[in-house]
Amino acid sequence: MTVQLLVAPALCFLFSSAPTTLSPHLIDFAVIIIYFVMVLAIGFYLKRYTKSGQDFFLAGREMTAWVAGLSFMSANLGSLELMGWAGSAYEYGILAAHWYWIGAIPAMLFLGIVMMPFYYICKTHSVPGYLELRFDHATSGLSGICFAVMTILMSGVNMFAMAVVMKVLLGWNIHFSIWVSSIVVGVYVAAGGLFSAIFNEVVQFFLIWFGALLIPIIGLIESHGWHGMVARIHANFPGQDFTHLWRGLGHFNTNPMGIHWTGIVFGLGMVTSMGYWTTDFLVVQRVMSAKDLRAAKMAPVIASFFKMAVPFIVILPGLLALAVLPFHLVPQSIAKAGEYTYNAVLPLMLGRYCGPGLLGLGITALIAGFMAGMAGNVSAFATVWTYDLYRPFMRKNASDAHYVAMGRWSSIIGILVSIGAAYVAMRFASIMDYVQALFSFFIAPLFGTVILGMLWKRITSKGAFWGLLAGTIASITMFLLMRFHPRSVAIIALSPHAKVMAQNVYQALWSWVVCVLVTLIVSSLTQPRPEQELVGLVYGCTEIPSEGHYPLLKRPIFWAGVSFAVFLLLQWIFW
Amino acid sequence: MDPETRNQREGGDPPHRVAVGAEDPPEGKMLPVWFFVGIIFLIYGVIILITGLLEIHHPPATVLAAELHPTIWWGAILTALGGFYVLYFGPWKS
Repeated sequence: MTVQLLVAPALCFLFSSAPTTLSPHLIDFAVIIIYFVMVLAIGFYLKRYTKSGQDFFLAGREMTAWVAGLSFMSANLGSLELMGWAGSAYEYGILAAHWYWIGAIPAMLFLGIVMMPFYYICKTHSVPGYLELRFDHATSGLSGICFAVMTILMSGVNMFAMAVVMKVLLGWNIHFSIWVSSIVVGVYVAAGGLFSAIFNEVVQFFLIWFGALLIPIIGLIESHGWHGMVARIHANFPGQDFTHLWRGLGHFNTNPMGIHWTGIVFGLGMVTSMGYWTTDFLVVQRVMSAKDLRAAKMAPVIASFFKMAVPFIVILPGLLALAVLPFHLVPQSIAKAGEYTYNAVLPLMLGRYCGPGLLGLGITALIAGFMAGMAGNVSAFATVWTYDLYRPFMRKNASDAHYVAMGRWSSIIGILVSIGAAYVAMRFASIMDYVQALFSFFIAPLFGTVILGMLWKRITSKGAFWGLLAGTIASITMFLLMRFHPRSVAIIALSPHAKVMAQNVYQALWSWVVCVLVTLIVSSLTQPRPEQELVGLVYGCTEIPSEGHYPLLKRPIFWAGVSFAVFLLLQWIFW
Repeated sequence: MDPETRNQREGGDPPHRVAVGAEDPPEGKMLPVWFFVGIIFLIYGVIILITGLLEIHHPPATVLAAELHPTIWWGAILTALGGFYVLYFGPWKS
């Protein structure tokens, strides 16, 4: 799910000394090459339809709920996510599924039902754009700068991650992978803008599913079903509980993650996931491209059903690896030459079950995941740079064509800067690890600013700015404290046993609290904007169009209820 | 708030050029994304299916459960799905 929670294990994978994992055949390379040709062809095909700023940055606002929803999912379903979380499932068991269920579903439904009407009605092009309409240039600029810088660095780290994974899996040269993948992504995003990114993301979504789905299916056949798998895990790891979601969360030291249920519910479910799914423009941009308000509300609801199913292709392979692999994987910190780390789970299982052709499809799924993530970052960067930084601060009244050209150029420049970041990551991996963490930490306070501004008209521009700044600084401070003064972990994360994931969750929670408190205090001391200026931006000042004229089965609220019921059912089944 | 942004906010819905245009634009009506999904599935399905059929009597020894012939049935599923999407969403469908 959120970046900081998966990047640490994924980066560990990059520096693993594990041997090359897969042995592809010629047919597998053919499958991979066809994929690259296809995504470029889609980009060039869509270029002719990308003429205005609305086309380039918002895909013409023509996407149906299904296309926007699948693209929304795909932008989140990068390969770092796939491999990182499969590794986490091996390390923490089914607890990792919290990041897909309570760490995603309530937030996605909240975005669709509560927040999307405001984003859509005000016709903003981005989340910083909403902050500009609701508050002022300062708040929007602060969030725009942080987002642009961190997004592009994140894209670089993705790029480097993909290159190293290709080296580990296939023995490919790192420079070759970096340049080929970036040129392909740069060309198709610069050609077709968000149109191209979204179309490719939908294709990538299907490839990821059909490339990874065979692992759990054949794995369950080999393990003789779920109960057979659980029995094997107990035999391989006696005394450890890897298959219950909530049962071990009553105390910090009765689960493999060292986390308490309050951290999962409040830190993950209410702050981190809400921040990521409702304010990270990388994913929200996809929903803003919907053709009408109903489609915009339905898109996250549709995506929530698929998100709930993702553990089947990510978490289950990790659990199956606990059951069927004849050797134990090890943490990166103690891995010796020739040993496999946790994050090699997915490639190992791919090699175990997939022969020629299917292996190519599986590898293509991983490449598709990387490219979806990279394209998401680049297209979001181009929008925020052009509309939230370049237009308000550098050139205010240029033509639409000028901004489209700027969008194309900023996509290319973004890719080049990302390549630079990839090479920096190659030399200073730990620095890049920190950079990504900071990116995510910015999201938690941003959620505080957006949600307060959206729901309460009394919040002022000054309150928003200082709250956002204070929350971000608090987040960075806590991060550095826990890294350089390990004793502070017991205070911030409430337990000395808290692992990195638990630390991140509590850090997000406290930074959100700081943001909210500072915003409320400063707002109470300053003058709010008149109500008539807040129409279309704030709850209570905005008339939300009724869904009453739609039949029940076409109402987003109905499907959101169904989705939430399925979510609760899953908690009960795997309690 | 700058004038352009204000206009954007106050303007009506954008024209749905591709989705509901009364006349097709000069560049032609955009193909739905499902067609592209269909093409890639069809190509992959055929490749994987043929690979599976070629190795039916000597499946790869390094792969577990190869006797289940996942390459054949997965290739068949992809081919069928891809074929359906291409036929249903292709440019020949008005």
